[in-house]
Amino acid sequence: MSNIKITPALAEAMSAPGAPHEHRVIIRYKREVSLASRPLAGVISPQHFSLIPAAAMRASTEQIHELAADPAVERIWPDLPVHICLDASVPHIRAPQVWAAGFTGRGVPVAIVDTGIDPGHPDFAGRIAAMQDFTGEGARDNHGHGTHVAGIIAGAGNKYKGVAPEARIYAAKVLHGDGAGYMSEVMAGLEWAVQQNVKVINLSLGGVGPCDGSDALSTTCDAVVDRGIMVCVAAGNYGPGASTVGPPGCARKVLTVGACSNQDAIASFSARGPTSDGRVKPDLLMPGVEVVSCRAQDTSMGTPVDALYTRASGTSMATPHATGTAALLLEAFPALTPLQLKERFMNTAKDLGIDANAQGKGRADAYQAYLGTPFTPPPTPVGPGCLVSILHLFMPSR
Amino acid sequence: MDKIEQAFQTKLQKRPEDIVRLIVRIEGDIAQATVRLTELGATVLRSFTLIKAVAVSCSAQTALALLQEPWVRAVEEDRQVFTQPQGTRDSASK
Repeated sequence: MSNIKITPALAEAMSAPGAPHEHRVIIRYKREVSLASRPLAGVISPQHFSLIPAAAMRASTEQIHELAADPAVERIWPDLPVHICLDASVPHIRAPQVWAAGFTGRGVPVAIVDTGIDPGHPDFAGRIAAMQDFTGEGARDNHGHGTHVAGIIAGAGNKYKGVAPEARIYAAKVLHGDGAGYMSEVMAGLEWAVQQNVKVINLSLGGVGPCDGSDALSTTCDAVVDRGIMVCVAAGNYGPGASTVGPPGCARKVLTVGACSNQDAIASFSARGPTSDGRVKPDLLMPGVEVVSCRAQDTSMGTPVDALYTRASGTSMATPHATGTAALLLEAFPALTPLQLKERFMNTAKDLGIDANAQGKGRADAYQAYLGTPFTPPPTPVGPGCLVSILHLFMPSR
Repeated sequence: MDKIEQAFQTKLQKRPEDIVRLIVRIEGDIAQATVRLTELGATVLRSFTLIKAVAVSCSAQTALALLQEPWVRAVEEDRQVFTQPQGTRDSASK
């Protein structure tokens, strides 16, 4: 009976693989109870609130169960880190819950093979390990796309935060200032990324479908996966017609990502399968509608929000949510192979109940992929960890 | 498996003087293949290690001649790829 006082999110955090012994929690008491009179069972640094009958503290798993057995206790929540997250998409996939478990992608090397990156953007400060140009234009992002993608993966701003805000960034510029490039330039960027020993590669790019995965770029992507590197690829924006996934999204071993909204409605532009040899694609969906992320200096891709941020939609924006999540998972479980990671993503996705050639296995969820169990609806409509979730503290308890 | 897609072959045959970019998949030694490609009049742009292939630029006529070479596994167009943001590609740079 006492266990129902512990929120499902906290219960999951307490029983998660490698969960710490001590947890930060917020305890809500019945209104009539005098807080000063409550025994706090040896918990650390209790802090009482005046607006609601509650206290924040650090407590062991055993102490949390003792508190839950106290008839004066109404509810016990996890006291999660608070951030203003990147748009609404990062909390939607519950990345903050993975951060709360101790994994932020710290030091995981991730390659963004794209239009380059703005090395002066403050949200990447001290974390760009290498940049390489394959276009002849210089490695700096003169388009804006690569910087936006990098922000979704690994931006660490105070204002907007990406999925893996402590990942290490490698940026290959293979697309020119007009956003276009050749397959051979992308292949060269992939070879460079492999030489840098990255663990995950993001490809928010593609050509027009249909395709069967036998083209040189798709074959190269599969060869990269064979080297033990996860490759996340955009399905493309050529939907909603059938068989519109283009290369390299039709590669067999990559994780091909379509786009949905933060309300889990598939984006009409998101490319659909099957591939021309009859395989289901995309593999899953991630949020890719109206995503605010980093803006490169002197560019105006998307709809600029201010000097440092811009808003854009596309499977280009969905894919880096998967790449960032892969970085989180590889920090938590470094031994996972790319194919195990792909399986984990797909087996834990939220089924949206639409055609497999539109959604793959459904919308992926970072926290569920971390837990490694089939998707269950989160306890609150908005994932805790972001500022907005504090509101639930002030609402009547269940 | 065919060495070339039929539609691409037809395109090359229609305009033999056009300069095209190709990815050529190779059997055997890639260094030797690079030398032979140059002898045939192709400009080698890059060579790759993850798959046995080289990127070249040459006339459509040369591209068709490559199909006769036994060490050429496949010839495909070095197609363009694009960023995938919705509706903003052409308005990106200031």
